Amino acid sequence: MKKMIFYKEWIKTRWYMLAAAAVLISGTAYILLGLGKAAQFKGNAFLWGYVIAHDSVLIEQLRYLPFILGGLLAVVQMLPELAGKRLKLTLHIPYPQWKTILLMCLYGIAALSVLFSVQAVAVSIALNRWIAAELVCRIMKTAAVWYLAGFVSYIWSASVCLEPSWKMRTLLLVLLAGMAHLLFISPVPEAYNGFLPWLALYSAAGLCMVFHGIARFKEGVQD
Amino acid sequence: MCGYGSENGESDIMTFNMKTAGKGFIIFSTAALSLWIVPWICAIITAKPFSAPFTMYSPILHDFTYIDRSGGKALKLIDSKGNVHGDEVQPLFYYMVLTGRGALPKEIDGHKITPELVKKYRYSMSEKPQYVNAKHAPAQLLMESVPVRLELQDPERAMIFHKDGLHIYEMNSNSEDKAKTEAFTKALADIGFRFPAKLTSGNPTHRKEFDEGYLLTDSAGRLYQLKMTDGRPEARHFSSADGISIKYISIVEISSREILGYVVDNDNVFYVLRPSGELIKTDAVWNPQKENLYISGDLLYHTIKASDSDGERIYALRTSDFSFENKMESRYDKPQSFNICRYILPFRLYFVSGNDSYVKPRVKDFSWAGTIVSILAITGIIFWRRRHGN
Amino acid sequence: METVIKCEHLTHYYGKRKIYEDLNFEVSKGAVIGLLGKNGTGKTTTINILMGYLKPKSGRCTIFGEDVQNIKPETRARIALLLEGHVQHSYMSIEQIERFYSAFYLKWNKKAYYDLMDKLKVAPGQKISRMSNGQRSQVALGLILAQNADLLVLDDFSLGLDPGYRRLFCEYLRDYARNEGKTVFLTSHIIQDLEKIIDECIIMDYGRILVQEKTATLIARYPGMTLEDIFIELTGKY
Repeated sequence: MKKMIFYKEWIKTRWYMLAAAAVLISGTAYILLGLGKAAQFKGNAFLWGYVIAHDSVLIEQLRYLPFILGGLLAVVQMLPELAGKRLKLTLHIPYPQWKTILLMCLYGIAALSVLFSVQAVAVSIALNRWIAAELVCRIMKTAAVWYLAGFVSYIWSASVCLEPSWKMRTLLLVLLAGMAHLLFISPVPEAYNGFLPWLALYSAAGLCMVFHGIARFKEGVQD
Repeated sequence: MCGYGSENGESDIMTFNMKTAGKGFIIFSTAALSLWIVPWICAIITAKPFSAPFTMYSPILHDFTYIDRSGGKALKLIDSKGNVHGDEVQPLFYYMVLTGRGALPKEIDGHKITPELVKKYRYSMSEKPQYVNAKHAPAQLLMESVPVRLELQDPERAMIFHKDGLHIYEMNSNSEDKAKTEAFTKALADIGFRFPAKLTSGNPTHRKEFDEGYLLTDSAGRLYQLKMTDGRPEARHFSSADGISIKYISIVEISSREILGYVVDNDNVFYVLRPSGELIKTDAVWNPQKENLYISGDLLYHTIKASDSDGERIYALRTSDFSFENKMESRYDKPQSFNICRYILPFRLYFVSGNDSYVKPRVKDFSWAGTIVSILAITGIIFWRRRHGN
Repeated sequence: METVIKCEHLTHYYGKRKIYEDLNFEVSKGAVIGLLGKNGTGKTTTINILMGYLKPKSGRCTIFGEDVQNIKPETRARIALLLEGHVQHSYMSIEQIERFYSAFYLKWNKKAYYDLMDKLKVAPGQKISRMSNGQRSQVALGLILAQNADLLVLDDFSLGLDPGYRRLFCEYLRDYARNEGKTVFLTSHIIQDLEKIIDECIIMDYGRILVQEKTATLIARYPGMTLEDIFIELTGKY
C-alpha cells in the first residue's frame, strides 16, 4: 500500500522530476563549466584565491535553485489533489489518512533529497579537481542551508496548497516569505553553521502545518 | 484481520494532537515573525542618520581634534576645548596639502619633518568585529617573501593547518607539495609549535612593499611568525608573548618596518610587536569581538580608536615607545525617535549582528511595557475567540 | 435489518445560513436510497458529512456503527465513493488507476473493472483527463464496481452525462445493487434516472426532510404522476 502511494505521487510528478533534474543538471553543469574554464585560463590558484581571500563559495549562482525546485514540486504534487477536491478521494482510500499524507510528503522530501544529493556529489567531485578538500567542505557546508531552503519551500508550499481557506493560506505564505528571508539573509560562508541543525528541526516540525491543513479540510473549513 | 495499514484496528483519525500541533506551530511562527519583522520595520522607519566625527591626536596642540563638517567647504578641526583650527594642527595627516602650500613645519617637538619621512611612517588600519568573529577559510595563501625579481608575485602556494602538521599545497596542480609540507612542519615543530594553529594573520597580496608572512598562535596560544623565503620556511617564536593569553593577532607591514604586528590578550589589552620580537604593552584597551578598531599612525603618535554603537575610546600613544600620551572617551549623542515597538512588543528578535557574520537567534530591547501590552492583547484575543465560539 | 447509515439531530449552517436543523434519517442494509432536493437544500452537504469531509454544527452520523468523523480504514474499504462530476485521479491512465486502487481493496474485482473498460475502446495508456465526460464516468463506475464495497455513496452520479451514458450507469448500478445486495445512497438532479434505480427516497426542502418513504408507496399516493412530478408538487415549482 505504501508503494502505491509513492506510485501515485510518481505518476503525478514524473515529468516535473525530469524537468527539475534537467534544470538542475544544466544549471550545475553551466556553473562548473565556467569554473573549469576559469581554472584552465587563469589556473587553479585563481579559484583558491577566490575562496580564501574573497570568501567566495564559487557556486553562488546555484543558491536559489533548490528553493525554487522545492516549491514547484509541492505545487505540482498537491495542486492535482485540490482540483475537483480530489483530496477527498485520496483521504478515502482504506489506509490511515495521516499515514497517506505523511507518505505523500515523504515522497516529495525523498525526491528532493535525491536531486540535491546528486547535485551535491557532482559539485563536490568537480570542485575537488581544482581546490583542496577542506575548501570544498567549506563550500558544501555553506550550500547546506540552500538545500534546507529547498525542503522548507516544499513543506511550506505543500501546506499552503492543502490549506482550504485563503485567509490561512495568506498567513502561511507570509510565514514562508519570512522563512525564505531568514534562510537567505546572509551570503557569508558558513554563517549558519551553529544554527542549521535547529533550523532543520524547526523545518521538519513544519510538516505539522500540512496535517493542520488536512484537519481543517476534513472539517469543511472555507472562506 | 487488518490489512489496511492500521495497527491492531486502531481508529484512523486525523488526531487532535496533529491539528493542535499544527496550530501551535503556526502561532509560534507568527509570534516569532512578528517579534522579528515588526521591530525591524519600526527601526527602519524611525532611523535617523548619525556618524561619529573623525578624530585624531594633534602633535601641535597635544590634544584630540575632530573634523567638523557642519558648515562650508573650509576644513575645520575642533579640539577638546571647542577651539576651531585649520589643517595646520594636523600636519602629519594633511602633509601633502601643507607641502603644496609650503606650510609643512620642518620640525615638531624636536623631530625633523620631511614629506618623505611623514609618508614613510603614515598609515592607517581598521578592524571590525564582524571580520574578527567570522569563520574564515581553513587555508591561507602563502607568498614568496623574497621573490627572485624583487617584485612580489601572486601566491602559488597555500597552507592548511592540521593536527599533524602544516600541509603546503601547490595550488595550480591542486596537489600537496609533500617536500614543503615536511619542511614547514619541521621548521615549526623544531621551535616548539604545537599544531594546529589557533590564530593566523597575514596579508597575502602582491600590492605591498614587502611580505612578512604570517603571525600565528599555536594550540597552546604561543606566538610565532612564519614566512617562505626562497621556497624555504623561516619560522620564529616570540618568547616575549609567552604567558599572555592571546585572543587576537594582526600582522602589520608598513613602510617604516617598525611594527611587526598587534596583539590583544584576553583582558583586551593592546600590545605592539616589534620586528625584534619585543612586545610592548600599551594602555590602550580594545575588545576585538565587540568593538571596531581604527588606528591612525604617524611619525610621532598613534591614534587608536575603539568604538561600538554607543560610544568610543580614543588613545594617543607615542610612536617612539607606544607609551601613553592622552585618552578621550565619549558616549554618542544619537538622535532618539519614538519607537512604538518598545511599547507593544516584549522584546526584539533578530538573527544577524554587526559584531559577527553568524545567523542565529538573538534577543534584545526587552520591555516591561511591551510585555504587559502583549499579555493583555493575547488574553483579549483568547477571550474574544471563546466568546464567538471558535 | 442492519442499519448502515444513521444520522441523528443533524444541524448545519454555512455562516448564518441554515442548511438544516435536527435532521434524522436511517438507511438499512440493502436499501437503494435517493436523496432528492433542489439546489442548495444540502444534498452534497449531507454526502460531505457522511464521508467525514464536513463537521456538522451539531448532531452525529454513523456508518456501519462508526462515527463518520473517525472511520477506520477497514470500514472505508466497505464504502465506495463517487464524487460529483466523476472526479478521479485523471492524471492516471485506466491501467494505472486500477493498479493503484487494487492495492488497497482486499476484495478487489479486477474482472468487473476491465469488463466495463473493454467497452470504452480507449488505449490502455490513455490518461483519464483526455477522455470525455461519459468515458470518465465509466471509469468511475468500473472502479466502484471493482471495489466490491458494501455501501455505495454517489454524489450526483449523472452530472454532465448524456442520455446514453446515464442509461448505462443506471442499468449497471441497479443490477449490481440488486444482485449483490448492496446498500446505495445517491443523489442526482435527474429524477427520472433515480426513479429507475431507487426503492426509497428522501426528499429534502430548505432546512428539513419533506418525505422519507418507499418510492413505490410515494408514487401510489400520487396516481398518474411520475416521481419528478411528485417532487415538483412537494417542493414547489421554483
